Amino acid sequence: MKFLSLILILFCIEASAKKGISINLISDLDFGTVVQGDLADTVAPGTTESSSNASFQVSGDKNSSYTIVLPSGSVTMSNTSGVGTLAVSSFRSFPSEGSNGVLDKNGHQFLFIGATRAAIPLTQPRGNYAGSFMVTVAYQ
Amino acid sequence: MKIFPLLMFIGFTCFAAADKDSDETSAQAKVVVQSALSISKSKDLDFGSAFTGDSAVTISPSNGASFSVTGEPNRQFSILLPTSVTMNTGGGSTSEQILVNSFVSSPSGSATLSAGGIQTVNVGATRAALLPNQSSGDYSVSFTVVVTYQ
Repeated sequence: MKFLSLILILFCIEASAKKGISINLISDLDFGTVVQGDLADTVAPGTTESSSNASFQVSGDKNSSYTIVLPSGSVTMSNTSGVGTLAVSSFRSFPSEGSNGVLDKNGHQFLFIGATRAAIPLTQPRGNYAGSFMVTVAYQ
Repeated sequence: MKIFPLLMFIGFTCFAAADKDSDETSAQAKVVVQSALSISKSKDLDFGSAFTGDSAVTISPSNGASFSVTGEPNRQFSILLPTSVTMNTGGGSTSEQILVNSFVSSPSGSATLSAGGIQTVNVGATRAALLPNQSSGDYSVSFTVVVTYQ
């Protein structure tokens, strides 16, 4: 019986050895300050954290690969100090959504996201605009 | 049997250890939209009437052209004036032209929009001396003042 318990404990340790995957926000996607009439602008995902791209840390089991799901359509930023909305679309990431991320030997990887902000009409109400978007990571 | 509670414990431990296969987080996309900068003329630069042979005349900004600049409250902008322009009447001969240069503005160089997002810019300049054979007539020309956010 003790032997059986030991086997079960070892099995349990083995089965739970794969850590769950988690994603944590480091910084938001920031299109900075623009002026009415400005053209559309794209923030590239980049390969390091910058003042404009969104940055995340993905953590989980060492050396494991995972898929990334970004918003497929557009996300709406709303004027937090008044009326008006602006669209954000064409989300892209590094590692890219189509390929997969791979966690390093310590079980971590940084994920960077960029997107395109729509052009600002001359009549766009001034103010601070913000909108939420979701990012999903999953083990393959 | 003492083994049963142990197995229960292992089972729960295993269950608790079966961590998530996926996770999601929310982030924000943000941007600050500021008012566009625009400038419109309120008053032209007028050198009045003069006679042939009269010497050069300088008009100070306070008596010169006036412009209204509107934009983002408290934001700074630069002011760009022409170097020189040539007023003319009729044809293009020298006696039908009068040079205007030494443009000066107040404020000069750069300025800051008020809390209401408005700033007045006044522009003066110097009109060249008139030739003894200066053609009589009305002389005019357009000049451009450019304002740009800094």
